[in-house]
Amino acid sequence: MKFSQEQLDVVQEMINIGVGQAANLLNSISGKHVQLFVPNVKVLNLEQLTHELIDLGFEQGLSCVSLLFSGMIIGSSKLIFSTEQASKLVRAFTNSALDESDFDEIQAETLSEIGNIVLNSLMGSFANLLKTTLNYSIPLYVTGNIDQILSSDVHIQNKGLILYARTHFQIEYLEVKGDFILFIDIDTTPLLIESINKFIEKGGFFN
Amino acid sequence: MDEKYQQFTLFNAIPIGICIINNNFEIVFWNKQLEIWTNILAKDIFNKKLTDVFPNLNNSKYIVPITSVLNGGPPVVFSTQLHKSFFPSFLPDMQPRLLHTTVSHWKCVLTGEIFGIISVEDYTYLSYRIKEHKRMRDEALKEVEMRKKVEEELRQSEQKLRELNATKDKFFSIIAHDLKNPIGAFKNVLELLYENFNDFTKEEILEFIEPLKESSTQLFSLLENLLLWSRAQTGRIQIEPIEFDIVDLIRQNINLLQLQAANKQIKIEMDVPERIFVLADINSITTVLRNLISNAIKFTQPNGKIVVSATSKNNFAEVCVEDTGVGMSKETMEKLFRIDVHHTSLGTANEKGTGLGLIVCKEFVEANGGQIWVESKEGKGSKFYFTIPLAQIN
Repeated sequence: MKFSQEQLDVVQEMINIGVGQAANLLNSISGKHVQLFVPNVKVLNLEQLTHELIDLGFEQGLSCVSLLFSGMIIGSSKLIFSTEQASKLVRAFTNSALDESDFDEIQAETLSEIGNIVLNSLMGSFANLLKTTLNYSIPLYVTGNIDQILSSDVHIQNKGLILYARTHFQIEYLEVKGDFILFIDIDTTPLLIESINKFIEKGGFFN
Repeated sequence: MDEKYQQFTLFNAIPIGICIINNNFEIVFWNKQLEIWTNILAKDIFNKKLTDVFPNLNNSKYIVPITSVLNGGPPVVFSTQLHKSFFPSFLPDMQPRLLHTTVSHWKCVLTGEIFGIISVEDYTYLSYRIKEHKRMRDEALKEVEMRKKVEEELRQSEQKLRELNATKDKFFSIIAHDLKNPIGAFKNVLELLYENFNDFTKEEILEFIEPLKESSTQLFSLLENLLLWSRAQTGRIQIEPIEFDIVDLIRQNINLLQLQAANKQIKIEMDVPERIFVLADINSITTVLRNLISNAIKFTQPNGKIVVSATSKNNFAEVCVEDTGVGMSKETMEKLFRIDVHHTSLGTANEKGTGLGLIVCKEFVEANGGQIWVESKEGKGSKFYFTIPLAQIN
């Protein structure tokens, strides 16, 4: 699936709007100065995605918050962290002094909320782009290695579109990195591209 | 309850809390589980605004996301750690219940009406179980640490016992062999002389007595070391450090042993500066020097040479007794300072030893805050080194 640079720029801008909203919400919940950066979006195949996730911390096991969606486009969005980064992120929001080995269900539940805020904001941006309403699942929290996380998602196995972006959280002086992944089912990918093209034709963000 | 909402009563049959609001934030359903958790009855809050019943929710961090859900946005999660009381609820002991809350969107296909489904899960007991699991894990870790500590103490105690046992064995071995044999020889010679005194000439009697004289000197030296060592073992040796000149002490000891060396035509030389003041117990260091020089004489061939040197290094005086004697193998060197390994060698003139002298030296040097070691090559000779702290006078 090929994306032109112009199309990717639109997606990048959508993500930037989404993370801006997410950062504001996280600010209001935590009472801390939160910033979110998503430097660049890439279109990847499954093999390239696995390679990127290995870089994130394959050995340690991963924590993943997923949101499935359906409607005009079908797919899932995921925010993935290594256990170490997940623990750091929860610690920053809750002021708790847990160590990595203490990452339990209660902390996982907190990570679900943080991940949910980010994913909701990002998906809100995409829904605006498509000018449609999507139906969403309840956020799903899973742990495991890369294969376990990726094999549980039917949209990935269908070899659909994979949009990938490394995500940096800056919570006061602490930096945490995770990965945002958007999988679009192969059947609905043309609709997404068509919507992006229409958006560009209508003058894009200057309209 | 409004009749059209009767369909929601199926949510009374599930073990999670369910509250349903319409797009005006009005409560249209409140299930039994929430009645139990909050002590608020459904009939008392029907058609009331959520934010009126729960003023704590009248905050943008709740209003904005819930509004977004009612407008068709994705579900939102309110975790227990970041939201202590979405619906205030307490356990019988008045501890707050930890409620995990999710708000999702539902559109009725029949009427087209929009609802927000607030589902609430109780994480309190899960949290207790996690805490209890962590407490038990920490206790198990502490127990493992404690066991390790006890095992280490036992190991050290066993080592100490082994050393004590070796000390006892050494003691009995000395009494059995090194003391019994020469004293037995004394007894036999004396008995022979006593019973046949008149049968021997004066020259013959002198011939009998001469080896006894040699033997008694060695026995006295052995008894002296044995006594010192046993006093050290029972903690009765007082180490009383004083400042003294080690060069002077070396000179005195060489003078005392000069005669013994001369008997084997061995030359003893000194390679020392004018003086080095040390802070140590003079009696124990005298024993160390005497033992090391005596050993050097014992293991050096006639016409050989012994050099005693001393230098100052890193706040310590380093003394070296070097001989041109028979030297030692690596295996022999490893046995020298160990109480648990019996080791003794005959001198070049068949002088006997007990293997106790070097053990006493080690105890005394270490008691004075120093170290002792040996360098040796078979057939070339040995170098015994020891260190003791320098005095501040220097």
